[in-house]
Amino acid sequence: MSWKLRDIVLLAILAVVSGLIFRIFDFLYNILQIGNIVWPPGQNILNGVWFIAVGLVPYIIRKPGAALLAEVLAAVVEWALAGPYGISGVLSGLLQGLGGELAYLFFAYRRYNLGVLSLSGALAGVGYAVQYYYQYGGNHLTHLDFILAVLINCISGVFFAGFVPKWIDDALARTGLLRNYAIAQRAKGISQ
Amino acid sequence: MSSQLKQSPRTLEEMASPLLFVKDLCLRYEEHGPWILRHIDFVLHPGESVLLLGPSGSGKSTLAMVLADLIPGILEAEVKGEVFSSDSLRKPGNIGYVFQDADTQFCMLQVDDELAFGMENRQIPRAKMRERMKEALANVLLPVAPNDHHHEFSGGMKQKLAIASALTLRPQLCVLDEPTANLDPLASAQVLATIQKLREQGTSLLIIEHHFQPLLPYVDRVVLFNRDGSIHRQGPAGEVVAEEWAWMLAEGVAESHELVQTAVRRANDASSLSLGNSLWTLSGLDVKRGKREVLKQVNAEIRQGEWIAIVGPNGSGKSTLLEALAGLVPAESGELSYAGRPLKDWSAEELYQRISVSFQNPEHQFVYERVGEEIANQRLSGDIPDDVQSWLSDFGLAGLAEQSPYMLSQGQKRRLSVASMLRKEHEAYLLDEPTFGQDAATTRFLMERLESLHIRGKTLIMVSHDLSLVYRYATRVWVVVNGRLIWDGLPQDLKNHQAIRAKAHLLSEQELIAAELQRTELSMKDIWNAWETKSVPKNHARLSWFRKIHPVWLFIGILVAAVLMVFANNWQQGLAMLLFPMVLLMTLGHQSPWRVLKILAPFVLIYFLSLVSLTLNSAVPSGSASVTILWWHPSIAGLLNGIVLATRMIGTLALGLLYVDAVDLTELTIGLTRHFRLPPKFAYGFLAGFRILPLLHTEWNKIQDARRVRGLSPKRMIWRIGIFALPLLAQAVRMSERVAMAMEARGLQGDAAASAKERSFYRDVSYGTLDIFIALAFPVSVFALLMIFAHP
Repeated sequence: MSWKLRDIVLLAILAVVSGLIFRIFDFLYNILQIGNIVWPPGQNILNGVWFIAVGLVPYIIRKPGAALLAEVLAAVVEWALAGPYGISGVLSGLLQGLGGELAYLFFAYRRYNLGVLSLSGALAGVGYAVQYYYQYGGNHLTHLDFILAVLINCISGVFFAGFVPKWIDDALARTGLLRNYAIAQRAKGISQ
Repeated sequence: MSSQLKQSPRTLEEMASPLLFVKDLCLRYEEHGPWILRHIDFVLHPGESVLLLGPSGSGKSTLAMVLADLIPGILEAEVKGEVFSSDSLRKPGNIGYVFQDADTQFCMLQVDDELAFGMENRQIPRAKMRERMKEALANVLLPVAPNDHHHEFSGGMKQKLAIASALTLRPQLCVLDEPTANLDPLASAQVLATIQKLREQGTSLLIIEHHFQPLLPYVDRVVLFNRDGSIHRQGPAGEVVAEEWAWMLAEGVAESHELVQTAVRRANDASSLSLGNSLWTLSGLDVKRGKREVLKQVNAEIRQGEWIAIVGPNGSGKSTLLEALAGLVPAESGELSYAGRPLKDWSAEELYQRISVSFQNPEHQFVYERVGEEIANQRLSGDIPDDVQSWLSDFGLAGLAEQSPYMLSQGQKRRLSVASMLRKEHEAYLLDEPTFGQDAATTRFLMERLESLHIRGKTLIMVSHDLSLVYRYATRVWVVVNGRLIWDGLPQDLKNHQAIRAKAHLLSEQELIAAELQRTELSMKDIWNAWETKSVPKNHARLSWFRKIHPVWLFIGILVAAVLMVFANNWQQGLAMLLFPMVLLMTLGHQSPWRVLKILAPFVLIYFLSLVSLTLNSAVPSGSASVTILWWHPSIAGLLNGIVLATRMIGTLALGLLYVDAVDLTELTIGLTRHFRLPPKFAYGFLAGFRILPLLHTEWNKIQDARRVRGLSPKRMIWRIGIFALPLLAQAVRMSERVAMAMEARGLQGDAAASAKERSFYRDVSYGTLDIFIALAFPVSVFALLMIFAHP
């Protein structure tokens, strides 16, 4: 189960790609801030985009810690690219990554399917809720609104950090380029 | 299930002790896949230099990687047979491997760190490093300063730096995979000179190179590979090449003599060529890339039926000129028009129905998951239609319709991209290095195809380094040097015009080496001054004082401070959280207030929206005044909440900015592994991943261009992200495999990868009480401020 250098470099590169996605999404999100004014919990429906690394990377690399590391590194990249959340973004990455990581831990790092990826996305949403509560004004909402916000976060996580990355990774695996990674090992039958 | 036997030789004991040998070696990458290598017997003696030759995909690189102990281990494979290497060779660092693509074997940011990387992994003491770096650079004739950033280098310089990085370890065996591919004649002459020097010093060499003729004087033996991965013949270079020439031609390993020697076939008929209407008109054309002027004052006209070859040194602007003709880069000033209409007025759809563009790397053009779909240029459900199948077999791709384009061999990929390009008739064809990295068979095949297009009256414009192709096929040659079109004329005239060819780096090897040795040796002398002084970061205005602080300690301090800032709950605390880092930035951070404001301004707007949201939506504490409008309940309490949120967020932003200004990525990496026990493979793996970022940007642009000329690039950014995601990720995976392989080959494996104690370090990163004190000062100050401004 030990990490190979190629796992680490791919994790870093995918984290960079995720960080780029975060940064591009930051732009869009600013425009959507208007939604925040209308009804704050609704704004969370797109938050899953920021959890994408917790699905994208572990589904390929399948090692303990992959979700957490990838999400944190992606957040660092977003920060380094002058993301609007500054170093707080790194904190988000940490909490979202921890949440996402838990899902794989529950299944002892043996199951990597749509269900587990979806759970990971949802738990990333729960992780983020901690920060949402203390830092981004969640504690000022009514209890009902806050709970709704967390739920919406989770649903968003299931879609953007579960379904979407699985679809991308499966397409990538079909090109045959991932034959040296855990995602392809079962099909290939060569044990590492 | 890889069985690799490393034992002392019994049967070969009587031979002069070989450096390494393999007996009856068979190899395949997948359990039921095809064998890549079949029954290979091969011996290498100390000081020998051997050239591996064969059609592309015949397993040359694979054998080299087995011999260099990269397979199995770094690459997984099923290996049968006996592999032996001598004890001396097995000592770490005694095999230097230089991969085909220089860009993806670097893992650091600047020259000295890059050169040091291998030495660090082999625990060469710091005191000896500089000397070895200078020696290696002198050996490859690369005059660069220690703190130069190599991502700005030309292809030739990168290749030399890659070789120099291997040489710092003074390897016994050096493996060079396609060392001169895609280098202009000057750069490849310099690489040849390097090879000669290595040979004189007694280094054993294993070289793979399609463009092998210039190499023959420098190798002792040649190994010829069959297409199926077995060895056809091996023996003394001169003898094998002379006796097997016919076989090499038939297998497409050698270029036909006709191709090499036919001088200026067009010489006589070029002038009599019947030319049609004018297609492109360029007058006073300037093109910029970013702020750099790449093309200056280009004037030319291209008429229907011409075959123009664009030649010149690496980095002279050839590809940019081609891209300008393709409408992919805009003219800065001057006229650039096609068929009488300015290129910028053409819609992509119209333009790319008339002209067709092919890029250097065929992969950039792949859009679909199956080979057949690439030809059909659409997603196909179910079977691939017959006409597509027969088109594929015309291009030697029969039976591959269901494959993923990415899994084809280099030659097959190129043929596929040409097959899809030729599927529809166009008026003109633009090609960037169409024969780059191809074996002779594919080259010949491609040129025949292009020739038949030309005979049918099509216009062709190609960038090429291959003078023999230029002389044979082109009707006109453009020489581009330093962004200027310095020569425009017939191929035979260029042949006789030595001065122009000298400027364009198109001289014969001897001429080149002589002239360049002199020049580089002079500039090498200058450059040593830069190596004497202590390395100073480039173009630094005034560095942040915090750069002196250990980057990891500083990060911890700042992160904890940022977490504490979250607990600011009233506007006085919020304001304090905002002002604290701002004041630090403008004092110790050496930032002008103007720059700080400029960077933070956009965020002020964002947080203004949060402020409005909180004002309207905050839960209203009992006893506060509030009104209800629709579902909103604006309140003073909410407004104050908004102000607190905005000020403390902008405060953490400023704190982050303080860190970004102060951090040096390389030192952060070293700090993490040396003082925070992050295994070197993680620290350097992360750094290598981050280094890919600018490369990904380049990839993105290439993919975008390739899609655009196929009429597949959506206008909206958001759809582009969707459609480009797969090829971009595919490229990222490919790069990460290459980078990881190169880093392991350079010694980042075993103990050196697991613990910083097993490495030496070129840069001196350390910390003392001051670092910890400063790190602590951040959260302590934030805490103190929170206390001072807390409500009683």
